[in-house]
Amino acid sequence: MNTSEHKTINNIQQDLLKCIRIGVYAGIICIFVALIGMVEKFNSRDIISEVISMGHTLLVIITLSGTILTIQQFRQISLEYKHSSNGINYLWELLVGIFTGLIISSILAIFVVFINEIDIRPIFINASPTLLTILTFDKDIYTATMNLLVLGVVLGFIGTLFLNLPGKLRLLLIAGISSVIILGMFQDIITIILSKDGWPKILLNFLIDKNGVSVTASIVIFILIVITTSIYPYLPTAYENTMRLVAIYHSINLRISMYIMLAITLLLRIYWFIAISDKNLPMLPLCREGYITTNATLGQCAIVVYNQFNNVTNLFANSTSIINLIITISELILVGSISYSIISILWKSLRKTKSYNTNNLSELEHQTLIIKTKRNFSIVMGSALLLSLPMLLGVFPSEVLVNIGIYMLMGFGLNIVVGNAGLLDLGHVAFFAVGAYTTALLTSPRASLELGLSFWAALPIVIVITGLTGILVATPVLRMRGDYLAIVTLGFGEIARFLFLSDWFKPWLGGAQGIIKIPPISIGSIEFIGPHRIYYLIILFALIALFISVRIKDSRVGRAWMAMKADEKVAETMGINTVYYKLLAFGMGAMIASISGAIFATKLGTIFPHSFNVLVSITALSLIIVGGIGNLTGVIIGALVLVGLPELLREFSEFRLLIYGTLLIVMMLLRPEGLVPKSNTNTMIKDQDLIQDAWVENSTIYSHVKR
Amino acid sequence: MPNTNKISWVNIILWGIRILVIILILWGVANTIISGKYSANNWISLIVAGLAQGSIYALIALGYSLVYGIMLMINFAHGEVYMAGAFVSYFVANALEKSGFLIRQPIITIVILLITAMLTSTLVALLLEKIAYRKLHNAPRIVALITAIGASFFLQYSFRGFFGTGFKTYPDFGTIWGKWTIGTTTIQVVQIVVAVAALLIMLILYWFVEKTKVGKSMRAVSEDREIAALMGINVKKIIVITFMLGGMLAGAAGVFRGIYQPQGIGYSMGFLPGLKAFSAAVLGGIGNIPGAMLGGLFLGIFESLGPNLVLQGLGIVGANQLKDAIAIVMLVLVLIFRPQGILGEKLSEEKA
Amino acid sequence: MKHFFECKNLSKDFGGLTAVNQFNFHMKQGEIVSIIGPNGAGKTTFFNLITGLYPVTSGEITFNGHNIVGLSPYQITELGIARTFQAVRLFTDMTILENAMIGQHCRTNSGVIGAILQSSDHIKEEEHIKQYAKNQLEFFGSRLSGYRMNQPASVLSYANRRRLEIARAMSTEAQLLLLDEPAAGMNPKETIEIANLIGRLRDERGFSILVIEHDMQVVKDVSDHVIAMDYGGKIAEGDYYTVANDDRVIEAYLGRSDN
Repeated sequence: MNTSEHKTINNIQQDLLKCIRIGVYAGIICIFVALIGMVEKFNSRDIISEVISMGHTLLVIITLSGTILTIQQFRQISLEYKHSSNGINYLWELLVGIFTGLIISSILAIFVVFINEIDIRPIFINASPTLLTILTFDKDIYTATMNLLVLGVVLGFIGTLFLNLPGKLRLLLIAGISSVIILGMFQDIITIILSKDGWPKILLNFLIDKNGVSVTASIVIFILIVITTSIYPYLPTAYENTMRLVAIYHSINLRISMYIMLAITLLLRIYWFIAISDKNLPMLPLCREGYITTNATLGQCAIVVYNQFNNVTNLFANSTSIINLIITISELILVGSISYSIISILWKSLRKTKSYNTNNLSELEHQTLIIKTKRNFSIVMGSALLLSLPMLLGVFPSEVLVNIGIYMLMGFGLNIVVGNAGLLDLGHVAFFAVGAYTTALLTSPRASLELGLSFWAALPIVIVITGLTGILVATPVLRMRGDYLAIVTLGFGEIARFLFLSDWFKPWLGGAQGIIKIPPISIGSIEFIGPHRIYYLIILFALIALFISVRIKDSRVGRAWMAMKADEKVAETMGINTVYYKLLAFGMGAMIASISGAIFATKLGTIFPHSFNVLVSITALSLIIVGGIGNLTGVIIGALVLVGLPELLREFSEFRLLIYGTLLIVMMLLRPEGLVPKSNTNTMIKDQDLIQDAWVENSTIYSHVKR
Repeated sequence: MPNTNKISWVNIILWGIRILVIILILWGVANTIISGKYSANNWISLIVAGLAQGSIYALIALGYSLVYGIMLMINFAHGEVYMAGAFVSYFVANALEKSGFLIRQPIITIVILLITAMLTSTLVALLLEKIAYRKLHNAPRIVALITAIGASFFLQYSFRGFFGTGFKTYPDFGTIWGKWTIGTTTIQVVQIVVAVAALLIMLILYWFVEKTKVGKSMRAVSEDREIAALMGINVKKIIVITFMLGGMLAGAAGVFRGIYQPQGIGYSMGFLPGLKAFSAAVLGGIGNIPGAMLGGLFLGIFESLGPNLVLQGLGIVGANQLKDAIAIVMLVLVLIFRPQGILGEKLSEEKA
Repeated sequence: MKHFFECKNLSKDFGGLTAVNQFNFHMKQGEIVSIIGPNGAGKTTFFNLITGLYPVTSGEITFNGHNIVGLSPYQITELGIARTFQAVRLFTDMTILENAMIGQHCRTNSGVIGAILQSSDHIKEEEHIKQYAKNQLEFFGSRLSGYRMNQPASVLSYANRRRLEIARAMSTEAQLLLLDEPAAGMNPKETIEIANLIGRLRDERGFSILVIEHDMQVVKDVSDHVIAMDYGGKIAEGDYYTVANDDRVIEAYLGRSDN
């Protein structure tokens, strides 16, 4: 007994050592983010106005995670050795937590004292006085050190407490706090979106204070999110029930006509948005200047329509108003039909004239109907949202969306090469660049060829040329193994840039000055100038690329790629011409990337070789890896996160590649799925196999064999 | 009905490329020599410059080769290990220059710089191994490569964060030592110093790998890791030592780069030399130590002579802009026509 | 007379090491031929030569009147030779059905355009591939068919992986199946089943079969013809009893007894 207790104490000492280690790591990470300038950069913005800045939030998060990780490790170890009683365990945990917090904060404190005493700025440019102010909270060094230590203890305490909360409560807290943080991080973009007269402005004033989320808003948001999160488990059921009601009580005709109405409204809106309006941007629906401003009500809408009819003589002189009128009317009808349908569903379900089963439909038909309704609903709502985004958000967010779209398109192309065919291509930028340059050469009147083709005439040529380039690049590297292939493609990407830059090709490609005056894309009289218009093109092409990717993935070609990726030799002995399929993958990947490049060129109007460096390839690669290789949804999410975030958060953009690099390492260490064949350890079915094999009778040997 | 001819069209294309390359090179060389634009002295100084540059490549290439031999992975972040050494020892060099020590004792300065850079690079290489690669010993190579790419960018941008985006300039050793004139040829002393010092370091490495017990264990692990482990060799330790060696060589290369070409020390300086050194390692036969040395030297000379000798002869304007492309083109050619490199033996399916 | 499958003076050198040496061999359609021999006798190398994974050093291989030396593996599969591997090499990420569908690849030709447009030809062909693959899987009873078809191959037990590999080879509509140690690593019951299966493959599906096998019981039960190999050459040939009692075969397996 005595010895085992002694052992326990020994182990606790070991545990403490481990705590120290994690604490030290966390402390080093704190110093790291401080020295690379993240803290200072982030500090320019408050998460909650005048309460906590983003830089401080970063440090707090690192400290908290350090504490939580330590306690988790501690728990694991104490589970192994079965500590005596729970009470002591909690006490120990608290002690460990506080201790870890203290370690992290003392490391930071030492660092603060150090940079206070010694000026290391000539070497570490970010060890600036500003950083010192941030870390000392603008107090003298002694108070600051004490403050830091106390803060560490408090954070350690909070971390322990947090881990010991019931799981549900923890989830609520995480949801609430993280949404406030996210709101704080995205305050710029929210400000841009909401700075319009009317209710947006009021909302904005409520949400954002001087330099961050206002205190009241953060409390309100926190409470709102907590409430939403706590009722979240009931939401799917509610959705299911609503869909059931819609499926049963809604006549199909009404539903379809509503969908059609929505489609018409949207298309008209988009047409109006792209073709005519240029002054009223950006805007939110129902805030259109001159028609409906503040506090839009249906009644006022009616007045607008009435006014429009009054001015009927002017209408035909100016097509703008006609379209506005049509939009207003159709939107009104839409609103009307939606409200009608809600009322009718409520009415019918209240009266319960028909129960589910007397509806002349079998249960199975019911289910399919509900599934169909759900699908239609999500498709309609999704596309409505997708198509109205630039209108909702305005010009700058559309710019971000367009950049996301360009990378997404490239990602779809790269995904064919890497995700489907398993060929690591690090030079995808070359195809992007070839697409952009070919477009420029063919369409720009100032380019050496002086062709001045329209975009639509040039596009097929661009696609074909880039596809051929892809095949040309792939041919010499066909027989190379994966990692060599990667390096060689990387090299090709660089060579492409050298050639674009070189004096050798200057007469044709313009050298470092690039090619200028690339005309915008136009359909009829509409010119796609400005991100809010190009957005629609990007969406169009991205959807096409997505569609192609989805269709191919489940086809004979997709299977051949999958087999080749899993085991090239076996694939070849199973009758797959691997040379052909590798070339095909490269060709198709290049073609999709070329479209991306073509849009990129027309969007900027000018292209320089410097836009096509290796970082583009790395970004494209990162986004398909972070989303999970070979996963198309992953490409979309990857693009949104990896391209969208740095664009929205200017603080992040400087550390973009640092974050990509970290993500690549983390993804490969934690979940390299998509690149690695799944492990063969799944035993679920093996047990069944054993059972099955057990009752295989001792079959006699096949008699025909012996003759 | 499948076609039954025995030479596939890929083969035909490859033969076509082979012949084309040879014709182009010969044509370019002939043109340049006939034009008589450069004298023999020009060529000699170009070759010496190439040797100096090549010895730097060789040092980096050795790191690739060593790691590849042991772990069968391309340590893409090796270029950044080299950058780290050059970067950190810049600060030391700067301090020494300001104190006047450098002018008085240039050789000792270089030794100090070498030690600093080697220590830094070794540290970075070891951290890399511990944080990024240790868990990947048995992972597919593509996974390891992507990790390495991630590590490469992580390091680049961490250094950018630490030390800023501006380019640093080493003290100018070139003017300290001046030039030698032999007959009509002038050679920069720095070039000789760099080449000789690099050669010395490489010889020490060669001795280490060939003669010492650790070196023999390294070779055993690169031959067959599992068997080596069964024979009682601590594979983990050997991998750590390999990374250490690679780091030291890269650090030395960083200092030599600073001495030889003082300008342009920055966070992104490791990317292209890394790529080129990898090409050099493949050229010499990856996993092969003398091969990496030879490959590096050859590459240096190719790069130095190539633009003037071949590309100008082909009538390409601004040939020196394409200098950086030479290594990559060479890499592609080597991989197509002699994947095992100059000195490499034919690799079995598992290794190649 | 032309044989269904024939090798003449087939040799393979690996830089000095002769793995297959002047090997002569022929078989008739509908035969089951077993190849036995100690480890390193060159049996698997022989299979690799037939399927084009290794280039042949010298000699010729004819199948159905075609000289297949120098063809790519996929072309050889197209001509009607399919194989399994000694160390099972399935596409573990793909479902069981997809694994079997891969076999049909060389018999179909729908491409990218068809897949994108979902043309009627493409849909018909996909349906055909699926049906054909299902048929092959059903040959193995409920082990591979039914609900299992849509699960990844990685969930299968070892024995079932071997079966799936055979199913995949069957899907190529081959005439000649090369089975590389189909009973390796199986328990006695499974081994009996495999022997049974090899017989059924020939009798029900009409495959000619060339099988490398160490289990002499299986060899005895299935073979019309047995070939013993050692040091890359043929040391004995004939029916099972002739070969099993051949002095040279016993010597190859047990070593020289009179020393």
